[in-house]
This record gives sequence, structure tokens and C-alpha cells, in this order.
Amino acid sequence: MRMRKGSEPQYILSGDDSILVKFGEEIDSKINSKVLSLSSYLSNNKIPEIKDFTVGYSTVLIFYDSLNISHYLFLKKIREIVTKKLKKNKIYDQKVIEIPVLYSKEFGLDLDSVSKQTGLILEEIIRLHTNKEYIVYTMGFTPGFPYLGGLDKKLTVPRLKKPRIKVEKGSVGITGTQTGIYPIESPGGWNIIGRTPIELFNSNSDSPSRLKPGDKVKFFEITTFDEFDQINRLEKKNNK
Amino acid sequence: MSLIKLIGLRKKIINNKGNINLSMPVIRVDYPGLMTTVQDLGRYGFQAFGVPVSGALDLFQSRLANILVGNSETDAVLEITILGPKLVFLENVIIALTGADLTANIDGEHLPRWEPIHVKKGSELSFGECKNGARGYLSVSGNGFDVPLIMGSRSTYLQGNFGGYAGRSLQKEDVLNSVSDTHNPETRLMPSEFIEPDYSDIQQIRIVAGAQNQKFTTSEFQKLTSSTYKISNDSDRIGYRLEGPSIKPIDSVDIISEGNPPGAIQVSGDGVMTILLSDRGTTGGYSKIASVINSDLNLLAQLMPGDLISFVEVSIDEARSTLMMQEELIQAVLEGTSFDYDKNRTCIKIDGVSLEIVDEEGEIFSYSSALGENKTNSQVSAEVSVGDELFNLDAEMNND
Repeated sequence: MRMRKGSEPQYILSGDDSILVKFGEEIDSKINSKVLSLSSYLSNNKIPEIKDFTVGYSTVLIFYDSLNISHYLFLKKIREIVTKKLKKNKIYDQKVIEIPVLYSKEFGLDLDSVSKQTGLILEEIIRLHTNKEYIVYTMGFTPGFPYLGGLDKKLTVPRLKKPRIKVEKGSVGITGTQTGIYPIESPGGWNIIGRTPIELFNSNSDSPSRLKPGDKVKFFEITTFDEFDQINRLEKKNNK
Repeated sequence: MSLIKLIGLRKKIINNKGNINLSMPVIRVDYPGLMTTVQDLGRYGFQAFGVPVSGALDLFQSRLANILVGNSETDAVLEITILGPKLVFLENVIIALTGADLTANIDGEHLPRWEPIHVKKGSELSFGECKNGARGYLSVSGNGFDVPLIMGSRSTYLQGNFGGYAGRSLQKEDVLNSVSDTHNPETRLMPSEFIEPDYSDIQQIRIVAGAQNQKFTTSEFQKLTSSTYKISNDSDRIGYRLEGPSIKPIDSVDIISEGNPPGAIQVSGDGVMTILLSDRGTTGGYSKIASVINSDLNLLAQLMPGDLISFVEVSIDEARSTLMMQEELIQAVLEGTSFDYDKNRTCIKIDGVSLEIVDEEGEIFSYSSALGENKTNSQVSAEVSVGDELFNLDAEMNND
């Protein structure tokens, strides 16, 4: 059963203190914009019964205080927000964040393989990757990992057959029609095309993530290691 | 709140009497045990950024431990797993140990659980055999253990290397501080009716349907509730992997990545199920056939690899009722009142399914408050919800 893009969201009990609001069944920017409208509304409006929420591509999972509200009433409340409060898929407090990337072979471990698979030269890969404005569809996998949708179709490559056990912090990866940034060192299976000196996640901060679901990301190219180090040093200093 | 960023410094906090309190060293670790971590009730508000909740696996026992020594429920405790540590006290403090029976001794003398205990400076707390349950919770007076608040919580998130004590489990020679240097709190006792739980009795874990239960046939769901599963050795604070009959989806278990609730039973491509716990990833791409109810996550925390469990499906209302019963015990301890386990177990069952009763404002009719003080029974006009449908009915509530 596939939901039409314009159809009503589904409200699914996902446990005894959570409700999953599902806007669709596929990775699609139109469906995702509804997700982001709700999630950004929840971020900007304190609703006392809500403990927390997570954002998926096509879903928002909302955790509520089940001791203080029954799921019937909570469902009613959420339904009301979705149908009456959200202003035509408006994404609240959306920011544009520009991220510098050094697309070098030292950092971009899979640049050669991406070039082979797509038939594109390095300059063309960089041009296509920096050309677009991406939206943070969802975050997860590790703290602060943004899934950025809308990668140019010419850059479509599958996941690595054998995921790496260790991907360096700051690595910029692509897979399918998505691109993302590894905010901390972790395992990973995306094709690495470069690295950013920007610190995306700082657990010591009360706003630990530079990005949030719904924000726009624009990559720009830096070309030297000196430039990379300079930005990186500044970032580390600011994060202390 | 710039104070919270002063990692490693002695922080000043002002208590409710207006006195300035200082964080002070209270415990030195002489032997870390299998895995001892600092935990509180979890890190909320950051799941949308991919930050797991973490926190005590047995939230109920963690809260009790704090309440007994006069702390706030949200203060940090030690979660002690199976084989306990050896701890030396650096001050006269009050402690409470709840949860598993890990053969705790203070200077060689048996340490009773669920009781505030005065401990002298220089005393040694050690643990022996794990006799019952799997996780003990140790609280200390002075507002609990003082580790930096990371995103509003003191819980350890091991995979992320942050929270708790330096983002890791305790090691030899670690020194833990209490948040304040005041150790003469108003302690509390368990109600006299309290019965120490026997965790070896845990067999049935209650579940509600998961977000993707329609991806499985009724007979596969029945397989889940009629089989016995063993908790695998490959289990930790992220999740318990289950050994037993595998569960097959109608087509595929893969879904577009979405949020993971606590207790979700996810089915991976090979049909193996994992119950997701406190350190679970915030999102995941596997179907969730069912979800363990919150009150029973506390029971799961007391099981260990090799233990056998089976699942029984309950209604969402029964899940809530069970949680409320736990809450009533917490309240009884807080207020020093008695606790009747069998009090006012009121519910309506239709075809064996328990239903919740809500009043005219739509709020749940709780067992004791619904009846009002000193009333043994009363006529009520109730609204019964079955799924999305509402029915009005006149009912008589009674105390049986």
C-alpha cells in the first residue's frame, strides 16, 4: 500500500509512549518538507507533554509523557497541530550553512572510484557537488550526522561493497542521491570525496550540532591544506 | 548556565537554604567491576540531532535509589552490571543500593538493599556473586555523583565517548565527587508492604504492537508471542539480541530510516530480533514488529545473557496502567505513605482486551483518585475509547 504524495498523514502507535507521524513511504523532498515543517514547529513551540522527538525522512516519531496524557488525547493534540497549526509546509527557523570542503585525493579516498563509476573528471565532481543547495532531511547514524538530499543524479554511486571500519571525522561522503558529513570518527560505507575542517558536533555545547533537520547546506571548495588547517584550528579554538 | 562547562573544577551550587555547597570527592574506585557507569534518567531533547537517550536501563530502581537518600530522582547514580566494583568512601555519606542482588558488603558486612545506609569515611564497599537480577543502582547523598552535565544529562554514552565519567565506564583510581558537600539529607524508607522483587521470576515481558507490525502475518506475530527466546551473549546497553525462532516479514524488513522508540523489537534481514534499549541509535532502517512497554524495560534490565523470556501482548491502556502502578509506589516512598499492591485495580475488559477509562475532560481515571477519598464505590459516566471510536456508558466503579 503506497501513500499518494498529497494524502493525509498516518498516525501510528509505535510503543506505549510514542506516536509515529508518517507523511509518506519514500525519500522525497515534498514528503520530507512536511516532516521538517512539523519537526521545526515542535522545536519552536514548547508542548508540555512532549518529551522528545526524532526526525526520519518521511516520519516524525514523537515521545510523550504517558503518565500525564493518554494516547487518545495526545493523538488528538498532534493531529490538531498537523492539520491546523502548520503553515503550508513552512520550515521554521531554517538556516543556510556554508561548509568548506577540501576535495583532495588524500582526504577523498574514493574520488578515483567515483570518477570511474560516473565517468566524470574531478573538477566536474566538485562542480556538481558544490553547485546545489541541500536540505538536511534527517539526522542520525551517529550524533550530528546529516543526511543531505538532492544530490545531482550524475553523481549517483552505490555504497561501498565493504564499509570502512574507520572513517575520519569531517569526511564528506556520497551514496545514491544523498550526501553527508561524518561529524565524528565512525565506521561508514559511503564514498568519501573530501573532508571539511568544520566541527559539526560538539558534545560539550548545549547546542551540540551545527546543523539541524531542515537547514540548508551549501558546500564550497577550499584548495590547500594550509587553508584547511587554518579553519580547523579556529574551529577547535571556538569549541573549547 | 556557563557553570556546566567548567569541567573538572569544583562547582559552586546554592542549596535551598541559600548556603553555598561545593562538590566534594566521596568515592575512589579500587576495582571497576565488569561495567560500572554513571547514569541518570537520560538525555532528552537531542534525538533529532542523532544523540541517543542513554540513562539507567532500570529507571525505576535508579529513581528509588535517589529518593531513599533524599536526592532528586534525576540525580546521577552508578549503574553496576553483574560483577560489582570495589569502592572506598572518602567521606561520611549516606548511600542506597537498589535493584539486583550482587552480594554487596560494607567492610565485610552484608549491605541491605532498598534502605538508606550511613557509611563512614574509609569504609569499603565490595561486591561478590550476582545472585538475583543483573543491575544494581547505587546512590549517594549530596545530590548524587558530580560529573559534567552534557546536553543536560550526566548519563554515560559509551559509543559516543561522552557523558558520565569521562565518557567511559569506571576504571581503577577514578575519584567520584558528590554534587554538594551536604550529607545530612532527609532520607526515606520503602513502605512496609514493599516486597523485594525476585528477578529470577521474570518470564513474561509485555509488548504492544510495533510501528511495522503490518509487515508481518498474524501467524508470525503469534510465533513471537508463543515462543521462548534466549537473551544472546551479544547484548549490551544498545540492545538485547534474541536467540530463538526467527521472524519472517511478508516482503522485506527494510524501511526508510525512522525513529527508534525504547523497547522496539526490530527484525533484521536474517529474521533475528533485537530489543532496542537506552543507548540505541536514534533512527534505524529495520521493521519493528513490537515494542516492550516502558514498565517492563525495567525488568529487562535485570536479565542477563542466557536468560529465557517470552512475550505477551497487552493493550496500550494496560501498558499505561502498569506504569501508573509503578508511579504509585514511587509516590508512596516520596510521601512516606503505605502502598497497596492490589489497590483499585479498575479496568474494563471487552473480549479480554483491557480498556482505559477517561473522565469528561478526557483525563484518565486513575485507580485511587477516580474514586475520591473515602469512597468505596461511585457511579460514573464514562467515555470508553476503542481505537479512534468513543462510547459513552454509565458505569459503577468499585474497589475490588
